[in-house]
Amino acid sequence: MKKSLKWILTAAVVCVAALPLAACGGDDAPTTTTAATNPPTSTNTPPVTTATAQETTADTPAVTGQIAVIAREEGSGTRGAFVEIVDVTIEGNDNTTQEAVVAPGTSIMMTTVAENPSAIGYASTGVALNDARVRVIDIDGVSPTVENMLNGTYPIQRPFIIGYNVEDGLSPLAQDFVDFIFSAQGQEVVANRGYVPTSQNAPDFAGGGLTGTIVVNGSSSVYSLMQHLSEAYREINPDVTIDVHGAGTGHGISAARDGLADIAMSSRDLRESELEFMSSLSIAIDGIAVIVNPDNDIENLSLAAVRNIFLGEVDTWENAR
Amino acid sequence: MGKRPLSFYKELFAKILFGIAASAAVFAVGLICVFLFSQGLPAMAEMGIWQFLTGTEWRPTWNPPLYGILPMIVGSLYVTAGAILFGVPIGIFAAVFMAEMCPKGVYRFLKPAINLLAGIPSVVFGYFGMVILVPFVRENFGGTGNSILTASILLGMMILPTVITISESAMRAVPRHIYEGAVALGASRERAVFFTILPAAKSGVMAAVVLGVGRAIGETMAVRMVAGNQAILRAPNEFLMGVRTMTSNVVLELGYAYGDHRAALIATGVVLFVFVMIINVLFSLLKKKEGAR
Repeated sequence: MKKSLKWILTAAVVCVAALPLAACGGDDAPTTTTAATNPPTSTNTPPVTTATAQETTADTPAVTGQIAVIAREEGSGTRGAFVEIVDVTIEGNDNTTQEAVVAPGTSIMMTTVAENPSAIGYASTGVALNDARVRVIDIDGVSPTVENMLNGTYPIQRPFIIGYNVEDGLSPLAQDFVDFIFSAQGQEVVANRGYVPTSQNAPDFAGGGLTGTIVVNGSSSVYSLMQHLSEAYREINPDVTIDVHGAGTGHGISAARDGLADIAMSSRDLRESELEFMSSLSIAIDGIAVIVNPDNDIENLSLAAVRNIFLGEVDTWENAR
Repeated sequence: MGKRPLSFYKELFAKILFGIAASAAVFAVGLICVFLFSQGLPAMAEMGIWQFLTGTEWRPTWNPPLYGILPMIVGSLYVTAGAILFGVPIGIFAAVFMAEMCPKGVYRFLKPAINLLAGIPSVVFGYFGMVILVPFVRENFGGTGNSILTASILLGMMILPTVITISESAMRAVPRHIYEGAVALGASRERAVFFTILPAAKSGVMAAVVLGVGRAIGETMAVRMVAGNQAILRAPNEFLMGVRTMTSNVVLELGYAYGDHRAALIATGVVLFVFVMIINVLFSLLKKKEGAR
């Protein structure tokens, strides 16, 4: 009895001593931040010459050991496109390694890669290139610049395409909306959403005062961009209703063929058979950047190496190089 | 029929008002139950309940898809157990300190601090975990840092206010003469607290723990930001590896899911709901036993 009491009391004293710490954990977060983020340099990694990561990558130490693969959640458009283009599949099924940390959302992807020196992940180029906390690497020696995406040398990219039934043609109203998409204002929306605009030096859009309804259907990846385009268009033409549906590329194309939609959206190039009855206009390019931590000195990976990393077949940085 | 006094109508009005308020909660629970079970159970039956519950592969985008949520069930249990491990001892001792031993000046600072901790939104906890705890665990214990351990520590922190506040008020509700009697018999203050007050407040403390468990198992936002979310069945000694809980499974994919995939996610919600019900039933059984003694 006495012994157990002593134990309990010792435990109590320890806990009471720890209490202020526990209570402060929440409200004093900033103080803890500086305390916890400083030590890392002393533990695992060799001395780091703290310099701006982008320029002096030669000085940053080689990251070794286990690769921390960061993927997006299943169903995410970015993951779907990445897996398809890089071919992270086995028998057509998404075979991203199950050991990959799943980052829900682009912002969590960025933070996770920024916090983990051995991480590799991917994000839309529009976001990744504007975030200094991560480093964008080249694929097969090609950087994901606007120029390289427009000339098609950067491999991990896909076009956002709209199409319409060539036999029926576009209604005057739908034509006006398409003109808007390819105007300076429309392409500005494209750029603001983080995509690469396809038409440079686009003309200003002049118009307004129209009424009617436009039905747009197709790819769920293009859906969000189309929503923003239609919102911008409706600021100029408030009486126009634009019904945007994201039922999928295939569904959108057949809807346009059957006259159920004015405009179809596709997140891939149209097939030969589809081009027989569909026109194809590329409204934007969606590039996906492969990102690593700034402490990682790697600058280039081959597409095949990226594939092997995300399949989990290569799992150390030594083997990835 | 004689004329009734005004106070009768006032009373009646108040009765109806409170009755509606009380039934609103019941109505909400009923509605959620109906929704969950009507959407989730047919899907579960179609996939095969046993296969759904014990399947270890979650591959919703595969053709054909695989929906096995055992990794998520186990994941939820791990992080909840971890949260109890970290949160409950600290919470109970903190409550003992606050109820019995705390000087007034310290209490005036401690109490609002704990209330503040309770008021911090879980997404803030999640962000804190992501930028502080994850690197901390990675550098001191290894792994990617997105792990069962990280989620457990974070959840332990998040359930602290619940555990502390409820066990503290349970201890304060214990009649003073019990303590006085113990002291009169020669027990030291600590001994009186730990061997008379704490046992007397047992059901309240248990309630605190159960509510903490409820919060831990239902927590979504913070957990999915630090746990890594890998849908892999983990062994208990793999606590430095990531795990996906039932809640994060639902919230991760619900935005994109349709058809069977969506149904499988709602069915995951059903399983979670059943777990919470089991916890509540266990709790009331425990209380009943306590009362019978």
